[in-house]
Amino acid sequence: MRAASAIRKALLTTGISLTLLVTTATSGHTLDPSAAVVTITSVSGYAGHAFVFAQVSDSTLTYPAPTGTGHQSPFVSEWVPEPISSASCPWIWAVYVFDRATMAQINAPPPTAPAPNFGTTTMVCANPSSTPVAQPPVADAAARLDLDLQVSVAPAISTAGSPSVVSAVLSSTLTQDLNLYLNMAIEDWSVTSWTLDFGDGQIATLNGSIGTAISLPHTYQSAGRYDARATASVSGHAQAAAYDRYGTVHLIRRPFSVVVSNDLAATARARPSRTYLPPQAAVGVVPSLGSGGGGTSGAGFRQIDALRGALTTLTVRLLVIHEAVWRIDGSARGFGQSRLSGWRLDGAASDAPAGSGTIPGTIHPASDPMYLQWNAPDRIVGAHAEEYVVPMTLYVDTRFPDGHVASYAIRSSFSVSINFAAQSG
Amino acid sequence: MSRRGQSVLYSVLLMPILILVFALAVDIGSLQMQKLRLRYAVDLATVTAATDVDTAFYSRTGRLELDVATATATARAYLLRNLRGLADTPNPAAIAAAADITVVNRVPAVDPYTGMRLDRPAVCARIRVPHRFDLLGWIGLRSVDLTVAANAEIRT
Repeated sequence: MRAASAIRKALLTTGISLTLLVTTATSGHTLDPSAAVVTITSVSGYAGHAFVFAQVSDSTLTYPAPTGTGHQSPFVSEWVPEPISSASCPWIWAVYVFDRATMAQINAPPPTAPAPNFGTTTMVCANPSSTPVAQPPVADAAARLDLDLQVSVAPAISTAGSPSVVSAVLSSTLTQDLNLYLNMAIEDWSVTSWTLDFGDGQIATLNGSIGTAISLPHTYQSAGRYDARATASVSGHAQAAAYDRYGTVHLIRRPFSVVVSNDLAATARARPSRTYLPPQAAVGVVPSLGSGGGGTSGAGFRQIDALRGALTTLTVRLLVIHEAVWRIDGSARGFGQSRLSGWRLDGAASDAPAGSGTIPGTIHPASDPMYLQWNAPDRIVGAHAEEYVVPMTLYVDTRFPDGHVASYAIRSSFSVSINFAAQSG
Repeated sequence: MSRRGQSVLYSVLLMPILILVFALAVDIGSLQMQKLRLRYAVDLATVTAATDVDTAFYSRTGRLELDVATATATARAYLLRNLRGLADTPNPAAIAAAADITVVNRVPAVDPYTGMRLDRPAVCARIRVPHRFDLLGWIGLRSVDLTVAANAEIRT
């Protein structure tokens, strides 16, 4: 009976011990908030600079970097239990710390180190209430992210109505604190949104993962000085890591957000005064007899002969006397190029038979020929022959060197001499 | 008896004169008619040739001129055609070939055959046609050369 009671007591003790062990093992993956405190200070700035300061403080439960992978430390360690002959500390952990990148031991003792020499300067007494042996306690670790935002406008002085480009570039400086006991890191940060306030009432907002630079075209419609302001909203995480005596990493992950903004005076000068002087032009015609076209080449004439009673085909030409002028602020910058796009016969109908002559008042394409006929010779007024005058309206398109295209309607006329009639003697 | 003899004497003396007057009247009339026909022939030939406008020059300059080669050929061709239609014209081909034809484009000018002033481009032509008298040949006047000239200004 006593033996059975002893067995139940042993089993109960073992169960409690296992339960405590499991509880300790599972709870070891979270940092005890009462022991480690993480503070994040996000300071937004509107003059081009902002920063995030993250700090973890733990004065009691910090131990050197843990073993294995899967944590944030740049160091790895190997913990080896070593018995020692001490009443207060019957055995210790000998901790061998290696640089993760090179796997070189960083805590090897000097050759002159006193015995017992376990090949490391980091030894931890296996007593939960003691501090690490031969290592100064570390109370806190900090990380800092500095953000600088520069805004630029190209060209520096733009012209109202002309496009310019507003750019913003966010640069950063990151300081991490990764020591053997505590880690404080800022990671996973990115710009979550950009806002460009062009200063003229127009605002552009871009959301999503955009990057640390942005350029947007913008056109200031009127002259003036504008406060172009760029604002970057940054979000990320600060992560603290501490290690317990068993080499288990304890993480605290805190989100942060910060806003950095800056501005620049964008100047748009007044749009230069552009004037487009129309061309001075007149109509010219290239005649041919009959209705079969022809006469499509050549410059065109202001005055022609025509046979009485003959249907005359006239190809209309634009005779440019003075080409159109492009002026900026009163000074000539170039000439336009004018071309005839259409024409209209004004005045009365000619003597052409019905259906064969050109009807006045209708706008024709430039390539259309004009068909006219005169059945009476020139009138004699005061002993002088009075020629026929044919009024027309020319429709002219002028393209200027800056790409501007203007359309003009130019009134003009040409004269025709009808003094030909059969005569014999 | 003496009166009858006197009448016969008058008749014998006046008959040749009457015959001569008659012959003169007939041949002069024939001459005028032929000249009129020839005039028509030359006139119509120049009028036809005056339609040969130099269209290329017209489109190139806006001024009306006659195509010299074409107008000359047209005038000669229509002259031959018109002369062939005249019954009393001997050897029309030779006459047409020998015709004087001038195309005048530089005006004002003077018709080289008629002396007429020309203000517009024109075709001038002149022919010489021998005319045979029918009755006047009795007195030794067998034929004369008829010279006919005409011009026509440019036209459609």
